[in-house]
Amino acid sequence: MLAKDDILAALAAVPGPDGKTPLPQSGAIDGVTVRDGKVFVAIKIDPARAKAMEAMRADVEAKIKALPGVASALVTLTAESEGPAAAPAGQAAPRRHVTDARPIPGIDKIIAVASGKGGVGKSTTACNLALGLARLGLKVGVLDADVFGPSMPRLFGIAERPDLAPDGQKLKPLEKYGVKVMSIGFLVEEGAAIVWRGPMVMSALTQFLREVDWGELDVLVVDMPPGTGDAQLTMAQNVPLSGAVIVSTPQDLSLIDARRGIAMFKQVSVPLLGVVENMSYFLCPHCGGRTDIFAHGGARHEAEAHGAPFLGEIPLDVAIRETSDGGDPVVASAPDSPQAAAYIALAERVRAALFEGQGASRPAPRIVIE
Amino acid sequence: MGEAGKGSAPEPSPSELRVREAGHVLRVAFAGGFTADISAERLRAASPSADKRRPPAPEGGIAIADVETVGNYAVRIAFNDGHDTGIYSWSLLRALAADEAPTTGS
Repeated sequence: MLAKDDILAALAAVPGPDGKTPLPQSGAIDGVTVRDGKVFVAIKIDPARAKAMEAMRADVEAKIKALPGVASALVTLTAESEGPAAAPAGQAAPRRHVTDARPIPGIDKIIAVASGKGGVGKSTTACNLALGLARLGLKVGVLDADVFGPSMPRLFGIAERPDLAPDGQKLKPLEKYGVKVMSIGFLVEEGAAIVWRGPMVMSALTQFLREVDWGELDVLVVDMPPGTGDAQLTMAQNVPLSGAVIVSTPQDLSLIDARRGIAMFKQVSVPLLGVVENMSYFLCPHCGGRTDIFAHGGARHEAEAHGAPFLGEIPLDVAIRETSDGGDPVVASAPDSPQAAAYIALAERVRAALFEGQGASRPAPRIVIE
Repeated sequence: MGEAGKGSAPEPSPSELRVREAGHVLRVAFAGGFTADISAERLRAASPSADKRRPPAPEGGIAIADVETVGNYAVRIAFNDGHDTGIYSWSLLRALAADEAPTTGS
């Protein structure tokens, strides 16, 4: 007659959950029942390690089945309900995945367009840069990460709502001028306020990255919110950014904050692709005279001071402003205009930096668990 | 955060992180060729997390349960005592490795 002790004796060679103590001595066996040759065994484990324990479970089942007189064996893993885990809270809790730095399948490079300060034309630059990259023949997407002030719906002139992708799980980005666009602005009314705490922003951004059907992209341009807060940190932690483009106007007040943006990316080891000087100068449409409204050359100096490339200057121009407000960005509506040329030149430099320079593959360390 | 690269020198980024001896040792190989073994115990003690309360060490000592990358600049190490909120930047790993004797071979 098969007894509980026979079962335990058969398991003496199986290491317990800690990998060393034999299972019968480890205290992990929660119950052994034998009925008509059918054996039921429950093993207590830390639920966080359930996957790793599966091999042990299968081993135990095989060992019991091999015993004479055993008709069937059912071994189950149960969550540890008592013992040392009861003292420190969180010990037996499943692992929280705060960060998720897996590359996003199908997306080759992700770049952040950022500024330390708002109002410097970062979104306009991101939009036209994306269109410029698309004109160079790249497959491009734009992710509007500025959840509190999404500008992409207006800049691209998109008023629709995104549909579900054919798989029924992901959202399909909207497409215009050959560029895929996703923004929180597609999901709320223009003018509605997003009143969210940090964790909400984090989860929205993570969803925009991973639960949007981006398809195959050469470059995903991320329009960052101004500043150095939660959203920026989420992006830096959750995606292997290939590089960052900093947009600044030339005046000191803006450059001080641009410097903060540069410092932030340096802190999280995101390569700086370069600095763009926006609203660099004003060409008077009446007299043709040039005025350096915000001074001139400041961004170039800033870039040089940080050993970063200077990516070019974009003039303060009424055509750029009008096309941006009109949802008809200048690179798409007037690709041969001098204004568009400035953005296309920017796109060329970004592409070079991305595929040949600093942004070119910086391999993540190999992680091996022996 | 906070610990990551305060200096302006380029970050020393590791080429391989190898968890050895059943999680008791992390072998860090840096791009420049420098390799060192850091004990799990030492990594646990050096956790930069604000949440580093220590439950009694598990039987058999502190071991590494999992390692995953965080962005471009760090790894998050989970230990067998349940602590998994420490983000170890490359510069922190470099500093810890610098105190260890360099290893050769595997």
